[in-house]
Amino acid sequence: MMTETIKCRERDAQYKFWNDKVNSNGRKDRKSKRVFAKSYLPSTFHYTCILISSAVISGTLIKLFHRKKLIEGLSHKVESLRMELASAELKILSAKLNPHFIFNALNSINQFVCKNEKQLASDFINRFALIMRKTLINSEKGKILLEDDLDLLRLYLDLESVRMENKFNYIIEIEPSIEANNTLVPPGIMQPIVENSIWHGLVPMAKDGLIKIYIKKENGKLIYCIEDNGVGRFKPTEKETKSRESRGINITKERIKLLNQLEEINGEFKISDLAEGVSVTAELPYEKAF
Amino acid sequence: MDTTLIVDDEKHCIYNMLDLISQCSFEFDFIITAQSVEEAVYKTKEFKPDLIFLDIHLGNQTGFDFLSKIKKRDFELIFITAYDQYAIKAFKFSALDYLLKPINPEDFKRALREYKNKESRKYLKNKMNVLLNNLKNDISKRKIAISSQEGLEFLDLNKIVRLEADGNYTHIFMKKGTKITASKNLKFFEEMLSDSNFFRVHHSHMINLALVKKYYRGKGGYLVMDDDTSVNVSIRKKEGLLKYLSEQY
Repeated sequence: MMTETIKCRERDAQYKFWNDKVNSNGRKDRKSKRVFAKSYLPSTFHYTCILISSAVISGTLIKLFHRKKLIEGLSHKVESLRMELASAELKILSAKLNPHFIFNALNSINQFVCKNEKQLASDFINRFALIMRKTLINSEKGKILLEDDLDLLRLYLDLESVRMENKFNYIIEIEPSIEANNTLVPPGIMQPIVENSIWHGLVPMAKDGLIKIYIKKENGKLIYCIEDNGVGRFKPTEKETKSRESRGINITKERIKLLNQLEEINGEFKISDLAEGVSVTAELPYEKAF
Repeated sequence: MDTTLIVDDEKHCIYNMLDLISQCSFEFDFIITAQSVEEAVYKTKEFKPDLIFLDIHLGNQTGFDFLSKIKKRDFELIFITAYDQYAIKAFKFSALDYLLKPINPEDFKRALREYKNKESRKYLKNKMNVLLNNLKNDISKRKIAISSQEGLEFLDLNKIVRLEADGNYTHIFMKKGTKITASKNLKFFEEMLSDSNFFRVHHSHMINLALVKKYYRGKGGYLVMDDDTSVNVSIRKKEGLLKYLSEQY
């Protein structure tokens, strides 16, 4: 009814806004033109070899034709990039809503209920609900403020910490030159990385775990460094024969690639092994809100 | 505590409310429940409750439908919703209290304390009128409840020229030249108003797009508003602003 119509209007406006934002990015034109010119030249050469006289005429015609095609091709390329980005964003949403996080949380709640720990169960459910709510709200936006992203990350880390009976601690440090309330980031990039560290690095470990998150900026790039002191990638326990890279990590990698492609930035996603544990570096375009 | 009505279409949610009520220190004298809009309307007329817990989702109707069917709204109201962002926005615009499902016992207690507070009951009728007005009118006729030091004020959106950040406070400049200082930061208003024809042009400024007089080009440029004040535009916001302005005129 009323609610529905206004919702639709909001959605349309958002779509329009997103659409405009992408189309206004004109920098990609030059790059694609180069690529196209390269593939075009040999074919002209080929034509000249076969029919010398008609080559000049046909060549000119093809050139004009290709130029038109090039423009069409460009808008197609932007369009398809945008589509890919949107679908990856959708995937991260489903990745967060379905796998181990939800079921492990439900399992913990079940455990509290079975042990008749009413207060703990209720507290856990409320934290879990808050995380789900914020995750959904953030995922609806393409970019959010770094402070909001960190806020959710802390809630997630605190909940995992409760579940692991405080087996690990975490530190989040931000370079002083970065204003968390004026820096735009894609939502939830760090969450699957941290989840991976906890589940595959820290849980199988006997001693206390530590996750260190450092956020810095370098050459127009925002860099997330996430380190754990867990068991690392090369010493999997018997149960952990599979690679440490989860579906969530793969989706995050894909998102970073697409984001950097759209902003024409040479950012990368790196996983390296430390003497103890694993270090993950994710590089994103550095973008200020104002 | 007086007469309380719980309206929710799901029985187990009503049980959950009764459970929360039994756990808190307030005494409830008389509790009635309703599972549909019709039942809620009937019981409201019959029992004249002092407090209503109203779920937004009621079968194929809403808590708003219930509210618009009641002429004499002299009860305190606490909305409940699971995840309805549109409804939450509507509550924020009218400063009406709401609880989110699953209901956190702490939030529940806070809402009841608020109910006991006479000061907040003073504006109740206005709040409900603003809510219903906003639901049936388009953006230009909407109102917003602002809590300032003087109390709660209800402002017409189309009479707000601009908003300016001041730490955790926001100054709201009205068409007639008055200024209201709200005890919320600009980020709060940005989230509320960005789809109501307002645009945040700068870290410290948000403007009403309908009340822009002129834009002067520059690095970011600046705007002259309806009240002849000028507002700087951040470089990163220039493009977006021009797009909105060109759509408008």
